[in-house]
Amino acid sequence: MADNVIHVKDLKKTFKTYKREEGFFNAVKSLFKREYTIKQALKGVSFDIGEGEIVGFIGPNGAGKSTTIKALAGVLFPSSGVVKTLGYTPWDERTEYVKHIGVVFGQKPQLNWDLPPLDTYWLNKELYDIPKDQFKKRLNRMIKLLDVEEIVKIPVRDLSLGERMKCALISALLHNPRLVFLDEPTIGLDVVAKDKLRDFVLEVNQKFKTTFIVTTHDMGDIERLCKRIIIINNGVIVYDGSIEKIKKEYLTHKHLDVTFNEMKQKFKLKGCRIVGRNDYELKIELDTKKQTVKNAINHLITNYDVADIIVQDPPIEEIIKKIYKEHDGNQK
Amino acid sequence: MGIKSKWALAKIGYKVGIKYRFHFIVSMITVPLSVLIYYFLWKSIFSYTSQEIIRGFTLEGMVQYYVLSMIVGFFVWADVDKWLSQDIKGGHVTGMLLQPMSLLCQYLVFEIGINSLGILIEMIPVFLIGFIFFGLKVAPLFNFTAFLVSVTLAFFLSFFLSWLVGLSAFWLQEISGLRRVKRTLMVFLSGGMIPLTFFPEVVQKIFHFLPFEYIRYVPIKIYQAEYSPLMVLAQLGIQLAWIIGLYFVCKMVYSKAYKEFVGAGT
Repeated sequence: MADNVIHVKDLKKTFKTYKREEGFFNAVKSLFKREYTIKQALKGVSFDIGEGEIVGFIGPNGAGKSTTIKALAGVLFPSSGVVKTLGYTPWDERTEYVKHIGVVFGQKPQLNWDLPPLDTYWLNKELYDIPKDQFKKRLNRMIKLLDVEEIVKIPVRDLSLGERMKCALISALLHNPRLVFLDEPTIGLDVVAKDKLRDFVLEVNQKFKTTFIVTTHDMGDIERLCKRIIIINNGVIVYDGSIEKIKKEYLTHKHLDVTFNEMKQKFKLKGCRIVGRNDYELKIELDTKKQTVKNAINHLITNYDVADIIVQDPPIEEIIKKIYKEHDGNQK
Repeated sequence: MGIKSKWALAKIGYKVGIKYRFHFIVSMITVPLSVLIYYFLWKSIFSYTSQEIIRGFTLEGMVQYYVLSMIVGFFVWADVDKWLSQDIKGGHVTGMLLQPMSLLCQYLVFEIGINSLGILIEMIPVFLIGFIFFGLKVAPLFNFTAFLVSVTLAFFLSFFLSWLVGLSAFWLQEISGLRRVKRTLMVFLSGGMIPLTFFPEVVQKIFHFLPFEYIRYVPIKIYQAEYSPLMVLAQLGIQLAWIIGLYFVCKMVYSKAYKEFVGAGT
Protein backbone atom coordinates (compact mmCIF):
# COMPACT_ATOMS: atom_id res chain seq x y z
CA MET A 1 0.00 0.00 0.00
CA ALA A 2 3.06 2.21 -0.14
CA ASP A 3 2.03 4.13 -3.22
CA ASN A 4 -1.39 4.95 -1.88
CA VAL A 5 -2.01 8.55 -0.96
CA ILE A 6 -4.59 7.63 1.62
CA HIS A 7 -4.97 4.49 3.63
CA VAL A 8 -7.81 4.31 6.11
CA LYS A 9 -8.50 1.22 8.12
CA ASP A 10 -11.36 0.65 10.51
CA LEU A 11 -11.73 4.30 11.45
CA LYS A 12 -14.10 4.84 14.34
CA LYS A 13 -15.29 7.95 16.06
CA THR A 14 -17.73 8.40 18.89
CA PHE A 15 -18.95 11.78 20.07
CA LYS A 16 -20.32 12.72 23.41
CA THR A 17 -23.06 15.23 22.90
CA TYR A 18 -24.67 17.00 25.79
CA LYS A 19 -28.36 17.26 25.59
CA ARG A 20 -30.61 19.71 27.26
CA GLU A 21 -34.35 19.89 27.32
CA GLU A 22 -35.73 23.27 26.48
CA GLY A 23 -37.01 25.67 29.07
CA PHE A 24 -35.58 27.77 31.85
CA PHE A 25 -35.71 25.12 34.53
CA ASN A 26 -33.75 22.67 32.43
CA ALA A 27 -31.19 25.32 31.59
CA VAL A 28 -30.55 25.81 35.30
CA LYS A 29 -30.52 22.08 35.87
CA SER A 30 -27.93 21.62 33.15
CA LEU A 31 -25.55 23.80 35.12
CA PHE A 32 -25.29 21.08 37.72
CA LYS A 33 -26.01 17.89 35.94
CA ARG A 34 -25.40 17.37 32.29
CA GLU A 35 -26.75 14.38 30.49
CA TYR A 36 -25.09 13.22 27.38
CA THR A 37 -25.68 10.75 24.65
CA ILE A 38 -22.97 8.89 22.83
CA LYS A 39 -23.19 9.06 19.11
CA GLN A 40 -21.24 6.81 16.82
CA ALA A 41 -20.33 9.04 13.92
CA LEU A 42 -18.03 6.53 12.24
CA LYS A 43 -18.44 2.81 12.78
CA GLY A 44 -15.36 1.41 11.14
CA VAL A 45 -14.57 3.03 7.83
CA SER A 46 -11.89 1.65 5.53
CA PHE A 47 -10.72 2.72 2.09
CA ASP A 48 -7.63 3.43 0.03
CA ILE A 49 -7.12 6.21 -2.44
CA GLY A 50 -4.35 6.30 -5.03
CA GLU A 51 -2.45 9.22 -6.47
CA GLY A 52 -4.23 11.45 -8.95
CA GLU A 53 -7.71 10.22 -8.16
CA ILE A 54 -10.68 12.50 -7.69
CA VAL A 55 -12.99 10.78 -5.29
CA GLY A 56 -16.48 11.95 -4.51
CA PHE A 57 -17.47 11.49 -0.92
CA ILE A 58 -21.21 11.56 -0.57
CA GLY A 59 -23.84 10.77 1.96
CA PRO A 60 -26.89 12.32 3.58
CA ASN A 61 -26.57 14.95 6.29
CA GLY A 62 -24.91 13.60 9.41
CA ALA A 63 -23.63 10.51 7.65
CA GLY A 64 -20.03 11.09 8.74
CA LYS A 65 -18.56 12.74 5.65
CA SER A 66 -17.14 15.78 7.37
CA THR A 67 -15.98 13.71 10.32
CA THR A 68 -13.94 11.54 7.98
CA ILE A 69 -12.52 14.53 6.12
CA LYS A 70 -11.55 16.19 9.39
CA ALA A 71 -9.79 13.08 10.62
CA LEU A 72 -7.92 12.89 7.33
CA ALA A 73 -6.98 16.57 7.52
CA GLY A 74 -5.68 16.12 11.05
CA VAL A 75 -8.12 18.38 12.85
CA LEU A 76 -10.02 15.56 14.47
CA PHE A 77 -8.81 12.82 16.72
CA PRO A 78 -10.54 9.52 15.94
CA SER A 79 -11.53 7.05 18.65
CA SER A 80 -9.72 4.22 16.94
CA GLY A 81 -8.42 3.08 13.60
CA VAL A 82 -5.51 3.71 11.30
CA VAL A 83 -5.09 6.67 9.00
CA LYS A 84 -2.01 7.11 6.83
CA THR A 85 -2.06 10.04 4.46
CA LEU A 86 0.99 10.73 2.32
CA GLY A 87 2.82 8.55 4.81
CA TYR A 88 1.85 10.69 7.81
CA THR A 89 -0.49 10.12 10.68
CA PRO A 90 -2.38 13.41 10.31
CA TRP A 91 -3.08 14.33 13.94
CA ASP A 92 0.38 13.33 15.18
CA GLU A 93 2.57 15.20 12.71
CA ARG A 94 0.25 18.08 12.06
CA THR A 95 2.56 20.96 11.16
CA GLU A 96 4.71 18.83 8.87
CA TYR A 97 1.76 17.09 7.26
CA VAL A 98 -0.36 20.15 6.46
CA LYS A 99 2.39 21.54 4.23
CA HIS A 100 1.46 18.90 1.69
CA ILE A 101 -2.29 19.23 1.77
CA GLY A 102 -4.87 21.82 0.86
CA VAL A 103 -8.25 22.10 2.50
CA VAL A 104 -11.38 24.05 1.74
CA PHE A 105 -14.21 23.78 4.20
CA GLY A 106 -17.15 25.35 2.44
CA GLN A 107 -18.84 26.22 5.68
CA LYS A 108 -15.88 27.57 7.59
CA PRO A 109 -13.85 30.68 7.01
CA GLN A 110 -10.17 30.17 6.37
CA LEU A 111 -9.11 33.52 5.03
CA ASN A 112 -8.37 36.41 7.34
CA TRP A 113 -11.63 38.25 7.72
CA ASP A 114 -10.12 41.70 7.97
CA LEU A 115 -7.79 41.53 4.99
CA PRO A 116 -8.03 41.10 1.23
CA PRO A 117 -7.30 37.53 0.08
CA LEU A 118 -4.17 38.77 -1.66
CA ASP A 119 -2.56 39.45 1.72
CA THR A 120 -3.32 35.91 2.82
CA TYR A 121 -1.79 34.56 -0.38
CA TRP A 122 1.43 36.42 0.27
CA LEU A 123 1.43 35.08 3.80
CA ASN A 124 0.96 31.58 2.40
CA LYS A 125 3.93 32.12 0.16
CA GLU A 126 6.10 32.50 3.25
CA LEU A 127 4.33 29.90 5.37
CA TYR A 128 4.71 27.24 2.71
CA ASP A 129 8.00 28.52 1.44
CA ILE A 130 6.91 28.85 -2.19
CA PRO A 131 9.58 30.26 -4.55
CA LYS A 132 8.61 33.71 -5.74
CA ASP A 133 8.49 33.11 -9.49
CA GLN A 134 6.46 29.93 -9.03
CA PHE A 135 4.15 31.69 -6.63
CA LYS A 136 3.50 34.55 -9.03
CA LYS A 137 2.99 32.29 -12.00
CA ARG A 138 0.58 30.06 -10.16
CA LEU A 139 -1.30 32.92 -8.56
CA ASN A 140 -1.80 34.78 -11.81
CA ARG A 141 -2.98 31.64 -13.54
CA MET A 142 -5.48 30.84 -10.81
CA ILE A 143 -6.76 34.38 -10.60
CA LYS A 144 -7.35 34.36 -14.32
CA LEU A 145 -8.98 30.94 -14.39
CA LEU A 146 -11.41 31.81 -11.64
CA ASP A 147 -11.89 35.35 -12.84
CA VAL A 148 -11.17 37.10 -9.54
CA GLU A 149 -8.71 39.87 -10.50
CA GLU A 150 -10.57 42.57 -8.60
CA ILE A 151 -12.08 40.40 -5.90
CA VAL A 152 -8.75 39.39 -4.35
CA LYS A 153 -8.09 43.02 -3.45
CA ILE A 154 -11.25 43.44 -1.38
CA PRO A 155 -11.33 42.56 2.35
CA VAL A 156 -12.89 39.13 2.82
CA ARG A 157 -15.69 40.47 5.03
CA ASP A 158 -17.10 42.36 2.02
CA LEU A 159 -17.12 39.37 -0.32
CA SER A 160 -20.07 37.17 -1.18
CA LEU A 161 -20.12 33.48 -0.26
CA GLY A 162 -19.22 32.38 -3.77
CA GLU A 163 -16.41 34.88 -4.10
CA ARG A 164 -15.01 33.78 -0.78
CA MET A 165 -15.13 30.18 -1.92
CA LYS A 166 -13.12 30.91 -5.03
CA CYS A 167 -10.57 32.84 -3.03
CA ALA A 168 -10.34 30.05 -0.46
CA LEU A 169 -9.74 27.54 -3.22
CA ILE A 170 -6.81 29.55 -4.51
CA SER A 171 -5.41 29.77 -1.00
CA ALA A 172 -5.69 26.00 -0.61
CA LEU A 173 -3.91 25.25 -3.88
CA LEU A 174 -1.16 27.88 -4.02
CA HIS A 175 1.46 25.65 -2.44
CA ASN A 176 0.72 22.93 -4.96
CA PRO A 177 -0.36 20.33 -2.41
CA ARG A 178 -0.37 16.68 -3.34
CA LEU A 179 -3.66 16.05 -1.62
CA VAL A 180 -6.66 18.37 -1.49
CA PHE A 181 -9.86 18.11 0.53
CA LEU A 182 -12.84 20.04 -0.72
CA ASP A 183 -15.77 20.03 1.66
CA GLU A 184 -18.78 21.20 -0.29
CA PRO A 185 -16.79 23.46 -2.58
CA THR A 186 -19.62 24.60 -4.82
CA ILE A 187 -22.03 25.57 -2.07
CA GLY A 188 -23.52 28.97 -2.79
CA LEU A 189 -21.96 29.31 -6.23
CA ASP A 190 -23.83 30.34 -9.35
CA VAL A 191 -23.89 28.10 -12.41
CA VAL A 192 -21.03 29.85 -14.20
CA ALA A 193 -18.88 29.93 -11.11
CA LYS A 194 -19.53 26.24 -10.46
CA ASP A 195 -18.40 25.42 -13.95
CA LYS A 196 -15.24 27.47 -13.58
CA LEU A 197 -14.41 25.90 -10.28
CA ARG A 198 -14.89 22.40 -11.63
CA ASP A 199 -12.78 23.10 -14.72
CA PHE A 200 -10.15 24.46 -12.47
CA VAL A 201 -10.07 21.39 -10.25
CA LEU A 202 -9.86 19.14 -13.31
CA GLU A 203 -7.00 21.12 -14.73
CA VAL A 204 -5.01 21.02 -11.51
CA ASN A 205 -5.70 17.31 -11.21
CA GLN A 206 -4.49 16.53 -14.72
CA LYS A 207 -1.49 18.82 -14.64
CA PHE A 208 -0.05 17.92 -11.25
CA LYS A 209 -1.65 14.54 -10.53
CA THR A 210 -3.13 16.14 -7.44
CA THR A 211 -5.44 13.87 -5.50
CA PHE A 212 -8.81 15.38 -4.63
CA ILE A 213 -11.43 14.30 -2.18
CA VAL A 214 -14.68 16.11 -2.68
CA THR A 215 -17.71 16.00 -0.45
CA THR A 216 -20.81 17.46 -1.96
CA HIS A 217 -24.54 17.31 -2.26
CA ASP A 218 -24.37 18.55 -5.82
CA MET A 219 -24.44 15.64 -8.24
CA GLY A 220 -23.16 17.98 -10.91
CA ASP A 221 -19.85 18.07 -9.04
CA ILE A 222 -19.75 14.30 -8.93
CA GLU A 223 -20.57 13.76 -12.57
CA ARG A 224 -18.11 16.34 -13.80
CA LEU A 225 -15.24 15.56 -11.49
CA CYS A 226 -15.23 12.08 -10.11
CA LYS A 227 -14.64 8.69 -11.57
CA ARG A 228 -15.02 7.04 -8.24
CA ILE A 229 -17.44 7.67 -5.43
CA ILE A 230 -17.63 6.56 -1.86
CA ILE A 231 -21.07 6.66 -0.34
CA ILE A 232 -21.30 6.79 3.40
CA ASN A 233 -24.42 6.48 5.46
CA ASN A 234 -24.82 6.27 9.23
CA GLY A 235 -21.08 6.03 9.66
CA VAL A 236 -20.62 3.06 7.35
CA ILE A 237 -19.42 2.92 3.78
CA VAL A 238 -22.28 1.54 1.71
CA TYR A 239 -20.71 1.88 -1.69
CA ASP A 240 -17.19 2.34 -2.99
CA GLY A 241 -16.54 2.12 -6.69
CA SER A 242 -16.73 3.77 -10.07
CA ILE A 243 -19.71 5.74 -11.24
CA GLU A 244 -19.94 3.45 -14.25
CA LYS A 245 -20.23 0.45 -12.00
CA ILE A 246 -22.87 2.04 -9.87
CA LYS A 247 -24.88 2.76 -12.98
CA LYS A 248 -24.58 -0.80 -14.17
CA GLU A 249 -25.50 -2.23 -10.79
CA TYR A 250 -28.28 0.05 -9.84
CA LEU A 251 -29.59 1.24 -13.17
CA THR A 252 -32.58 -0.93 -13.84
CA HIS A 253 -34.53 1.70 -15.71
CA LYS A 254 -34.20 3.99 -18.70
CA HIS A 255 -36.15 7.14 -19.29
CA LEU A 256 -37.72 7.72 -22.71
CA ASP A 257 -39.00 11.17 -23.55
CA VAL A 258 -41.18 10.85 -26.63
CA THR A 259 -42.64 13.73 -28.63
CA PHE A 260 -45.49 12.98 -31.04
CA ASN A 261 -46.70 14.85 -34.06
CA GLU A 262 -50.05 13.39 -33.38
CA MET A 263 -51.15 10.85 -30.80
CA LYS A 264 -54.02 8.72 -31.99
CA GLN A 265 -54.03 5.69 -29.75
CA LYS A 266 -53.01 5.00 -26.18
CA PHE A 267 -49.47 3.79 -25.57
CA LYS A 268 -49.12 0.42 -23.95
CA LEU A 269 -46.12 -1.90 -23.85
CA LYS A 270 -44.80 -4.57 -21.52
CA GLY A 271 -42.20 -3.29 -19.05
CA CYS A 272 -43.03 0.34 -19.69
CA ARG A 273 -44.67 2.73 -17.32
CA ILE A 274 -45.91 6.19 -18.11
CA VAL A 275 -44.59 8.64 -15.56
CA GLY A 276 -45.64 11.90 -17.15
CA ARG A 277 -47.68 13.15 -20.07
CA ASN A 278 -49.08 16.18 -21.78
CA ASP A 279 -50.70 16.77 -25.17
CA TYR A 280 -47.79 15.80 -27.40
CA GLU A 281 -45.31 14.30 -25.00
CA LEU A 282 -44.92 11.13 -23.02
CA LYS A 283 -42.39 10.32 -20.33
CA ILE A 284 -41.85 6.60 -20.16
CA GLU A 285 -39.92 4.62 -17.60
CA LEU A 286 -38.61 1.41 -19.06
CA ASP A 287 -37.64 -1.58 -16.95
CA THR A 288 -34.56 -2.99 -18.68
CA LYS A 289 -35.15 -6.42 -17.23
CA LYS A 290 -38.51 -6.80 -18.90
CA GLN A 291 -38.06 -4.82 -22.06
CA THR A 292 -35.25 -3.69 -24.34
CA VAL A 293 -34.82 -0.14 -25.51
CA LYS A 294 -34.56 -1.34 -29.08
CA ASN A 295 -37.97 -3.02 -28.94
CA ALA A 296 -39.63 -0.05 -27.38
CA ILE A 297 -38.31 2.35 -30.00
CA ASN A 298 -39.33 -0.02 -32.76
CA HIS A 299 -42.78 -0.28 -31.31
CA LEU A 300 -43.08 3.48 -31.07
CA ILE A 301 -41.89 4.21 -34.58
CA THR A 302 -44.01 1.63 -36.31
CA ASN A 303 -47.23 2.36 -34.46
CA TYR A 304 -47.13 6.10 -33.79
CA ASP A 305 -46.36 9.35 -35.54
CA VAL A 306 -43.21 10.11 -33.58
CA ALA A 307 -41.32 13.41 -33.87
CA ASP A 308 -38.53 12.79 -31.40
CA ILE A 309 -37.28 10.25 -28.89
CA ILE A 310 -34.76 10.97 -26.16
CA VAL A 311 -33.36 8.02 -24.25
CA GLN A 312 -31.48 8.72 -21.05
CA ASP A 313 -30.45 7.31 -17.74
CA PRO A 314 -32.34 8.52 -14.73
CA PRO A 315 -30.39 11.22 -12.87
CA ILE A 316 -27.69 9.91 -10.55
CA GLU A 317 -29.65 11.39 -7.66
CA GLU A 318 -32.22 8.67 -8.10
CA ILE A 319 -29.60 5.98 -7.77
CA ILE A 320 -28.07 7.54 -4.72
CA LYS A 321 -31.46 7.94 -3.13
CA LYS A 322 -32.09 4.29 -3.78
CA ILE A 323 -28.81 3.30 -2.16
CA TYR A 324 -29.51 5.42 0.90
CA LYS A 325 -32.95 3.91 1.23
CA GLU A 326 -31.77 0.38 0.70
CA HIS A 327 -29.19 0.79 3.42
CA ASP A 328 -31.61 2.40 5.84
CA GLY A 329 -33.93 -0.51 5.18
CA ASN A 330 -31.20 -3.05 5.93
CA GLN A 331 -30.46 -1.40 9.23
CA LYS A 332 -33.96 -1.61 10.55
CA MET B 1 10.19 26.96 8.18
CA GLY B 2 12.32 29.93 8.87
CA ILE B 3 12.10 33.37 10.33
CA LYS B 4 10.71 34.69 7.06
CA SER B 5 7.32 33.07 7.51
CA LYS B 6 7.11 34.51 11.01
CA TRP B 7 8.02 37.93 9.74
CA ALA B 8 5.28 37.63 7.12
CA LEU B 9 2.74 36.69 9.76
CA ALA B 10 3.85 39.58 11.96
CA LYS B 11 3.25 41.90 9.03
CA ILE B 12 -0.27 40.50 8.77
CA GLY B 13 -0.74 41.30 12.46
CA TYR B 14 0.56 44.77 11.79
CA LYS B 15 -1.89 45.19 8.92
CA VAL B 16 -4.78 43.96 11.04
CA GLY B 17 -3.55 46.36 13.71
CA ILE B 18 -3.95 49.23 11.30
CA LYS B 19 -7.62 48.30 11.09
CA TYR B 20 -7.81 49.09 14.77
CA ARG B 21 -5.94 52.38 14.50
CA PHE B 22 -8.96 54.17 15.83
CA HIS B 23 -8.45 52.29 19.08
CA PHE B 24 -4.87 53.53 19.22
CA ILE B 25 -5.81 57.10 18.48
CA VAL B 26 -8.41 57.06 21.21
CA SER B 27 -5.95 55.65 23.70
CA MET B 28 -3.46 58.34 22.73
CA ILE B 29 -5.93 60.83 24.10
CA THR B 30 -7.13 58.85 27.10
CA VAL B 31 -3.71 57.81 28.37
CA PRO B 32 -2.39 61.33 29.11
CA LEU B 33 -5.79 62.06 30.59
CA SER B 34 -5.58 59.18 33.03
CA VAL B 35 -2.07 60.26 34.02
CA LEU B 36 -3.53 63.67 34.74
CA ILE B 37 -6.21 62.11 36.94
CA TYR B 38 -3.57 60.19 38.91
CA TYR B 39 -1.60 63.42 39.22
CA PHE B 40 -4.47 65.30 40.86
CA LEU B 41 -5.44 62.32 42.98
CA TRP B 42 -1.95 61.95 44.42
CA LYS B 43 -1.46 65.70 44.74
CA SER B 44 -4.45 65.91 47.03
CA ILE B 45 -3.30 62.83 48.97
CA PHE B 46 0.14 64.31 49.46
CA SER B 47 -1.19 67.70 50.55
CA TYR B 48 -3.79 66.08 52.84
CA THR B 49 -1.24 63.95 54.65
CA SER B 50 1.29 66.80 54.44
CA GLN B 51 4.10 64.35 53.84
CA GLU B 52 6.97 64.68 51.40
CA ILE B 53 7.43 60.98 50.84
CA ILE B 54 4.80 58.23 50.96
CA ARG B 55 6.02 54.66 50.82
CA GLY B 56 9.23 55.78 49.18
CA PHE B 57 7.57 57.98 46.57
CA THR B 58 7.67 61.76 46.18
CA LEU B 59 4.74 63.29 44.30
CA GLU B 60 6.97 63.72 41.27
CA GLY B 61 8.22 60.15 41.45
CA MET B 62 4.67 58.91 41.83
CA VAL B 63 3.48 60.65 38.68
CA GLN B 64 6.49 59.38 36.77
CA TYR B 65 5.63 55.93 38.01
CA TYR B 66 2.24 56.18 36.34
CA VAL B 67 3.67 57.55 33.10
CA LEU B 68 6.08 54.63 32.97
CA SER B 69 3.32 52.24 33.93
CA MET B 70 1.34 53.39 30.89
CA ILE B 71 4.34 52.91 28.63
CA VAL B 72 4.98 49.42 29.95
CA GLY B 73 1.27 48.80 29.46
CA PHE B 74 1.61 49.31 25.71
CA PHE B 75 4.36 46.75 25.56
CA VAL B 76 2.69 44.09 27.58
CA TRP B 77 -0.78 44.54 26.18
CA ALA B 78 -1.76 41.02 25.09
CA ASP B 79 -5.27 40.36 23.91
CA VAL B 80 -4.57 36.85 22.76
CA ASP B 81 -7.21 35.46 25.11
CA LYS B 82 -9.77 37.57 23.27
CA TRP B 83 -8.56 36.56 19.80
CA LEU B 84 -8.35 32.92 20.72
CA SER B 85 -11.80 32.69 22.27
CA GLN B 86 -13.28 34.55 19.33
CA ASP B 87 -11.58 32.25 16.89
CA ILE B 88 -12.72 29.17 18.77
CA LYS B 89 -16.32 30.34 18.75
CA GLY B 90 -16.17 31.55 15.17
CA GLY B 91 -14.67 28.31 13.90
CA HIS B 92 -11.46 29.92 12.69
CA VAL B 93 -9.26 27.64 14.73
CA THR B 94 -9.86 24.74 12.36
CA GLY B 95 -8.41 26.84 9.57
CA MET B 96 -5.46 27.85 11.70
CA LEU B 97 -4.72 24.24 12.53
CA LEU B 98 -4.34 23.67 8.81
CA GLN B 99 -1.42 26.09 8.70
CA PRO B 100 2.07 24.68 8.94
CA MET B 101 2.90 26.54 12.14
CA SER B 102 2.06 25.82 15.74
CA LEU B 103 -1.02 27.63 16.98
CA LEU B 104 0.94 29.33 19.76
CA CYS B 105 3.48 30.64 17.29
CA GLN B 106 0.78 31.94 14.96
CA TYR B 107 -0.85 33.97 17.71
CA LEU B 108 2.42 35.09 19.24
CA VAL B 109 3.79 36.44 15.99
CA PHE B 110 0.46 38.01 15.15
CA GLU B 111 0.30 39.72 18.54
CA ILE B 112 3.84 41.01 18.14
CA GLY B 113 2.79 42.52 14.82
CA ILE B 114 -0.17 44.28 16.39
CA ASN B 115 1.79 45.46 19.42
CA SER B 116 4.64 46.87 17.38
CA LEU B 117 2.13 49.18 15.78
CA GLY B 118 0.70 50.13 19.16
CA ILE B 119 4.16 50.82 20.51
CA LEU B 120 4.99 53.00 17.54
CA ILE B 121 1.83 55.06 17.73
CA GLU B 122 1.37 55.25 21.48
CA MET B 123 4.67 54.91 23.24
CA ILE B 124 6.61 57.74 21.69
CA PRO B 125 3.96 60.42 22.31
CA VAL B 126 3.54 59.27 25.92
CA PHE B 127 7.29 59.39 26.47
CA LEU B 128 7.33 62.92 25.09
CA ILE B 129 4.40 63.98 27.22
CA GLY B 130 6.17 62.45 30.22
CA PHE B 131 9.40 64.34 29.48
CA ILE B 132 7.71 67.67 28.80
CA PHE B 133 4.87 67.87 31.32
CA PHE B 134 5.56 65.41 34.11
CA GLY B 135 9.30 65.81 34.60
CA LEU B 136 10.10 62.26 33.52
CA LYS B 137 13.87 61.83 33.64
CA VAL B 138 15.87 60.35 30.81
CA ALA B 139 17.21 57.10 32.21
CA PRO B 140 20.93 56.27 32.06
CA LEU B 141 21.82 54.21 29.02
CA PHE B 142 22.33 51.01 31.00
CA ASN B 143 18.97 51.34 32.68
CA PHE B 144 17.20 52.32 29.50
CA THR B 145 18.60 49.34 27.63
CA ALA B 146 17.74 47.04 30.52
CA PHE B 147 14.28 48.59 30.58
CA LEU B 148 13.73 47.74 26.91
CA VAL B 149 14.92 44.18 27.47
CA SER B 150 12.75 43.92 30.55
CA VAL B 151 9.56 45.15 28.88
CA THR B 152 10.17 42.78 25.99
CA LEU B 153 10.45 39.90 28.44
CA ALA B 154 7.42 41.28 30.25
CA PHE B 155 5.48 41.09 27.01
CA PHE B 156 6.20 37.38 26.72
CA LEU B 157 5.16 36.85 30.33
CA SER B 158 1.94 38.71 29.78
CA PHE B 159 1.36 36.90 26.51
CA PHE B 160 1.78 33.46 28.02
CA LEU B 161 -0.55 34.26 30.90
CA SER B 162 -3.17 35.53 28.46
CA TRP B 163 -2.61 32.48 26.31
CA LEU B 164 -3.34 30.22 29.26
CA VAL B 165 -6.57 32.09 29.95
CA GLY B 166 -7.39 31.90 26.24
CA LEU B 167 -6.80 28.15 26.15
CA SER B 168 -9.53 27.67 28.73
CA ALA B 169 -11.97 28.64 25.97
CA PHE B 170 -11.37 25.22 24.45
CA TRP B 171 -13.30 23.81 27.39
CA LEU B 172 -15.46 26.70 28.50
CA GLN B 173 -16.31 28.35 25.15
CA GLU B 174 -17.38 31.62 26.77
CA ILE B 175 -14.63 33.22 28.86
CA SER B 176 -15.45 36.91 28.92
CA GLY B 177 -16.00 36.77 32.68
CA LEU B 178 -12.74 35.00 33.26
CA ARG B 179 -10.98 37.51 31.03
CA ARG B 180 -12.30 40.40 33.11
CA VAL B 181 -10.99 38.76 36.27
CA LYS B 182 -7.64 38.20 34.62
CA ARG B 183 -7.40 41.79 33.45
CA THR B 184 -8.18 43.21 36.86
CA LEU B 185 -5.80 40.85 38.62
CA MET B 186 -3.02 41.54 36.16
CA VAL B 187 -3.28 45.30 36.53
CA PHE B 188 -3.66 45.16 40.30
CA LEU B 189 -0.97 42.60 41.09
CA SER B 190 1.53 43.99 38.62
CA GLY B 191 1.40 47.41 40.23
CA GLY B 192 -0.69 49.16 37.62
CA MET B 193 -3.22 50.48 40.12
CA ILE B 194 -0.86 51.46 42.96
CA PRO B 195 2.87 50.81 43.40
CA LEU B 196 3.48 47.46 45.07
CA THR B 197 5.23 49.18 48.03
CA PHE B 198 1.75 50.06 49.24
CA PHE B 199 1.04 46.46 50.05
CA PRO B 200 2.04 44.98 53.45
CA GLU B 201 5.57 43.58 53.63
CA VAL B 202 4.39 39.97 53.76
CA VAL B 203 2.26 40.40 50.67
CA GLN B 204 5.15 42.03 48.85
CA LYS B 205 7.30 39.02 49.69
CA ILE B 206 4.65 36.71 48.29
CA PHE B 207 4.56 38.81 45.12
CA HIS B 208 8.19 37.98 44.50
CA PHE B 209 7.09 34.43 43.89
CA LEU B 210 4.31 35.35 41.47
CA PRO B 211 4.86 36.35 37.86
CA PHE B 212 2.79 39.52 37.98
CA GLU B 213 5.24 42.07 39.37
CA TYR B 214 7.68 41.13 36.62
CA ILE B 215 5.17 42.31 34.05
CA ARG B 216 5.01 45.95 35.14
CA TYR B 217 6.53 46.84 38.47
CA VAL B 218 10.01 45.47 37.81
CA PRO B 219 10.53 47.18 34.43
CA ILE B 220 9.45 50.49 35.96
CA LYS B 221 11.90 50.08 38.83
CA ILE B 222 14.63 49.29 36.34
CA TYR B 223 13.91 52.47 34.44
CA GLN B 224 13.88 54.49 37.63
CA ALA B 225 17.34 53.11 38.41
CA GLU B 226 16.31 51.70 41.78
CA TYR B 227 18.24 48.47 41.40
CA SER B 228 21.98 47.97 41.37
CA PRO B 229 23.31 46.68 38.02
CA LEU B 230 23.69 43.21 39.49
CA MET B 231 20.16 43.33 40.81
CA VAL B 232 18.93 44.38 37.37
CA LEU B 233 20.51 41.32 35.79
CA ALA B 234 19.01 39.15 38.51
CA GLN B 235 15.55 40.57 37.78
CA LEU B 236 15.95 39.94 34.06
CA GLY B 237 17.04 36.41 34.91
CA ILE B 238 13.91 35.84 36.99
CA GLN B 239 11.78 37.15 34.14
CA LEU B 240 13.46 34.75 31.76
CA ALA B 241 12.97 31.87 34.17
CA TRP B 242 9.27 32.66 34.43
CA ILE B 243 8.97 32.76 30.65
CA ILE B 244 10.61 29.37 30.26
CA GLY B 245 8.47 27.90 33.01
CA LEU B 246 5.27 29.34 31.62
CA TYR B 247 6.19 28.21 28.14
CA PHE B 248 6.26 24.61 29.31
CA VAL B 249 3.00 24.99 31.18
CA CYS B 250 1.47 26.48 28.01
CA LYS B 251 2.72 23.58 25.96
CA MET B 252 1.27 21.08 28.36
CA VAL B 253 -2.11 22.76 28.62
CA TYR B 254 -2.19 23.26 24.87
CA SER B 255 -1.68 19.62 24.08
CA LYS B 256 -4.64 18.85 26.36
CA ALA B 257 -6.69 21.60 24.74
CA TYR B 258 -5.81 20.36 21.27
CA LYS B 259 -6.97 16.88 22.16
CA GLU B 260 -10.16 18.31 23.61
CA PHE B 261 -10.74 20.35 20.46
CA VAL B 262 -10.06 17.69 17.88
CA GLY B 263 -11.85 15.16 20.05
CA ALA B 264 -14.98 17.26 20.19
CA GLY B 265 -14.80 17.70 16.48
CA THR B 266 -15.97 21.26 16.29
